[in-house]
Amino acid sequence: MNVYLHVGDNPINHIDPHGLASTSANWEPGQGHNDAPYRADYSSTTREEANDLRKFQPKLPESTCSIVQNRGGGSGEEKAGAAAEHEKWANHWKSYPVTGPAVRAGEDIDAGNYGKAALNVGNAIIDGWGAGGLIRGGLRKTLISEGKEWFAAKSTGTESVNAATALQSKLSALETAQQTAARTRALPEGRIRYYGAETAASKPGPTRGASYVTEWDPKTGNVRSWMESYGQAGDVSRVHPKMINGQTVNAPHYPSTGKELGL
Amino acid sequence: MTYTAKQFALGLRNQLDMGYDVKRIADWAHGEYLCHGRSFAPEVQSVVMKIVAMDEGPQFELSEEDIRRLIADISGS
Repeated sequence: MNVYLHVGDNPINHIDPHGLASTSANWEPGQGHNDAPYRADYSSTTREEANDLRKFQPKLPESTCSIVQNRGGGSGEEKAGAAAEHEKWANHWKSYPVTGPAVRAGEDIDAGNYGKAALNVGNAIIDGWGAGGLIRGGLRKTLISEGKEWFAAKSTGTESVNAATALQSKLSALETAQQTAARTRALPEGRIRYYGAETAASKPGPTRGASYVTEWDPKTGNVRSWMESYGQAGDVSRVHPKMINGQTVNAPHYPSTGKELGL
Repeated sequence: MTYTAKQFALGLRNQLDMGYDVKRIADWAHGEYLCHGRSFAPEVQSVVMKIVAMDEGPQFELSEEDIRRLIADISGS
């Protein structure tokens, strides 16, 4: 199905985040693609290039770009002409419905997505013109945004920088706990707890000290850590989650401290 | 590369220069433990845990003067 059937003379039909457009050199006549400069531009973009958003660049007709670029200079007549042209195109873009340009109800869902993407690009064009001569910057910004969304959809999560950092912290914490544990406890279900050396309380009171505990579950690979406070009898009086799988946890104490209760 | 007591003291002093905030300083020390725990010098572990434990209640809190004294101690070691 040709999702561009109803696009008509919309110049933003160069923007093809899904790589669906025809790449044939012979543009199909009678399909609504009735703007020659745009056809010529678009036919030079291969499907591979369109699929790779890092390389993908919008191709505006030279005439439009020169109008935009000339807005800052030239004679008064040229400026007036450029401003009129700007008004014409700005109104043209604004006339498109929110659902996307020329995408009709019941069309392919990809066409709907395309319409939204195209609308964003259209807004960027308007913004770019509003700023005077920043059209390419605006478009590029929008395309980068679209590209990020596209890559995020394809991502498996393993590319995340945060994941690598968390994994490094997780393994580092486990290794440190194993090397420095003052006491180790193996639970019946296989989990192993490493108790760090107890830190004594600096002021006298019901709490004797606290210990940093790291728990490793060999079955799941999960690593968690928390601070355990001990009463004078050695009983656990309070716990405070600190880390789960390398990611620090901002959790309250159990039971809450006076400060957390606002006392 | 070993993470020395002097490196920890330098970071701790920077944190203190940003203001005396027990939770922020304790969280920073915990971050140092997670990131550099494997390469801690033997004497660093207990000092770091002392700072991390500050968040566990008023009985573990060190005053600003206590922390500055601690920095001076470990910097000179």
